[in-house]
Amino acid sequence: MHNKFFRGVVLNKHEFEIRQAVVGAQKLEVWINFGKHLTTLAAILYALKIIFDGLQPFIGQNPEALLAFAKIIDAINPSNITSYMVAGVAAVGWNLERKGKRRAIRQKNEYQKQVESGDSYRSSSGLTKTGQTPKGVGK
Amino acid sequence: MINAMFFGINVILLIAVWNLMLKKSILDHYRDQLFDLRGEMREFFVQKDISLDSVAYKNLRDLLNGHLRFTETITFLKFIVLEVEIQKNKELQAYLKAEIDKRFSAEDPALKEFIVQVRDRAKVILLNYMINSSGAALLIAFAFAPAVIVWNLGRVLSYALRTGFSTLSDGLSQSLHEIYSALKFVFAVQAPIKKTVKSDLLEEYSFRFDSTCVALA
Repeated sequence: MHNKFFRGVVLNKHEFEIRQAVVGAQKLEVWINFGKHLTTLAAILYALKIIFDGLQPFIGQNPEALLAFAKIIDAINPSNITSYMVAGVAAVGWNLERKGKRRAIRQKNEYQKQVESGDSYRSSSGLTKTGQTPKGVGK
Repeated sequence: MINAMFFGINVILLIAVWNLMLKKSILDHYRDQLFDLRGEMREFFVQKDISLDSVAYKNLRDLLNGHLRFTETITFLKFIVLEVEIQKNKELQAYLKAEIDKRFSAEDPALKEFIVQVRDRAKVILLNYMINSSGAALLIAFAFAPAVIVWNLGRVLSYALRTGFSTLSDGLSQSLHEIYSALKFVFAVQAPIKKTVKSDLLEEYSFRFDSTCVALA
């Protein structure tokens, strides 16, 4: 409900209660997201620690960096290298497909606008031309 | 030690793949379903020769547009917190239900049924997105999947014992369908969640409140 003397929205009791609940949930979510980011950071740091601990025996035994690196290569299973190559190729493929999808969405939007141009009511989702969440909305 | 090193590298890669790739694809997947639903809805109104100026069409379209726009903001945690708050307040629950029912009322029984179907399908899509985009919920789903499978197997046996083996085939076909759903590990936890969560709030969130909260922010 809008009041002509007040440049805002006048809420009834229930709407206010729901708005309060939404704001309360958003405040809690800020803390939860903070916790999630901390957990992710801790997981990455722990993973890095494991990596460096794994490298330690090789560097410790042989201070010459090149020789140490050779020892690491010796220790690496060829299947590990192949797996990372597969993962890398899959990631590149995913990225290319996603670009193609965004292009298809942009073109489909144009055709859809033409088809629905005669509609008496055609409200929009407000997403970008490539179907992404617009800035200012979302996480 | 070399295995531990690769474990560390793989953990970092997994985190990167989840945040930078898979979550985006999951969002797109469920948004595609909402777009398809919106198209089907328009098709229904055109085929039934119902004006696109009608209140029912406008409200349904605005609802789906709201779902599309605010899909990313409707997180599993936020939704559960809101549900708990709303369910404490019976008066507020009744108000929400009355508001939403008024918004989506229709005289024509076929149109009324269609509106209910569209709303239910939209809610399922959003619930699926909330669960599948949450790393924590997915981990819980994996953890509970064996229990859900055993639970459903127990239901089949219990049904067979109660009704006798003459109706076992009916019970089996129904329960096998549920067991199949449970066997899709990623979706195993969705059934109990959908039953316990009243999702009228999903519609209010997309239709009105989140848009205003964004404006207030």
